[in-house]
Amino acid sequence: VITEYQGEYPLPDILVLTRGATRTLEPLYGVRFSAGELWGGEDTARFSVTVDLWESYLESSEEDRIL
Amino acid sequence: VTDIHGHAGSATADRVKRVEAAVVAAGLTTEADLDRVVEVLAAQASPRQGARVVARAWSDPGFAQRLFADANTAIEELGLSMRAGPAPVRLKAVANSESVHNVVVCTLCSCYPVSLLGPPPTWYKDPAYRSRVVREPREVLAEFGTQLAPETEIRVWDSSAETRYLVVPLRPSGTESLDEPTLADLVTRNGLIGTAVV
Repeated sequence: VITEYQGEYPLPDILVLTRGATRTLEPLYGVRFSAGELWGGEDTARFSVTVDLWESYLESSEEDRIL
Repeated sequence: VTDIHGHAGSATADRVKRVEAAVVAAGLTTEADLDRVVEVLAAQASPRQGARVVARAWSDPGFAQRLFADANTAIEELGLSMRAGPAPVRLKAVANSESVHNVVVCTLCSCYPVSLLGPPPTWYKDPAYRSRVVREPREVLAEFGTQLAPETEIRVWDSSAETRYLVVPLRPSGTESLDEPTLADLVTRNGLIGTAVV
């Protein structure tokens, strides 16, 4: 689930490809995965990993809604 | 540039010198600019700064509220800034509670709020920590001597983009009468990363 909208930041992939010449701003989100979502198996480990991801890294899903 | 990593061997130092010469030759920066950034960081960057932020948050609920809402602005009340480094970054403070424990990692490299924590310890940059803490955080914390109750939820924060995370540990019991500087003495760098409790 998306836990946070962090603002708009330049997409690093484009910065690298264009050697810093092109800044493509994109929304950046904190996205939380439960241990089970990330590593499979039953969700008994009671931990989550929150990763910061640019919008184009995400796929839309019917199940996942912005909090 | 002065070696801010401290422990780097001569091979790393040589590589830094060659990269530095190349970026200066390419006109991307100057020797003077690099020295200025390192000087500011070296003068100010230390876990003591992060500890001051935590001690203020423990002592002043209003500050704590501002810190969790907008950490970049709140730390300026203490004369601190996230703009001291080579590029400004967003700071987010995350609070430990009786039921939630936070721990920070950078799975890509070794990002964390350097101005509040000083240069990262060797283990923070180690592939073993970076790969294992997202897979088995409870076991990794136990190896640091941090035994969490089985029912405690662990939140791992991966600094994979533009935000740097600061853990605000749970205030130890029996510290109600302590003033801010004394409270700050209790806060360790590992406590601010989340591999220790305070």
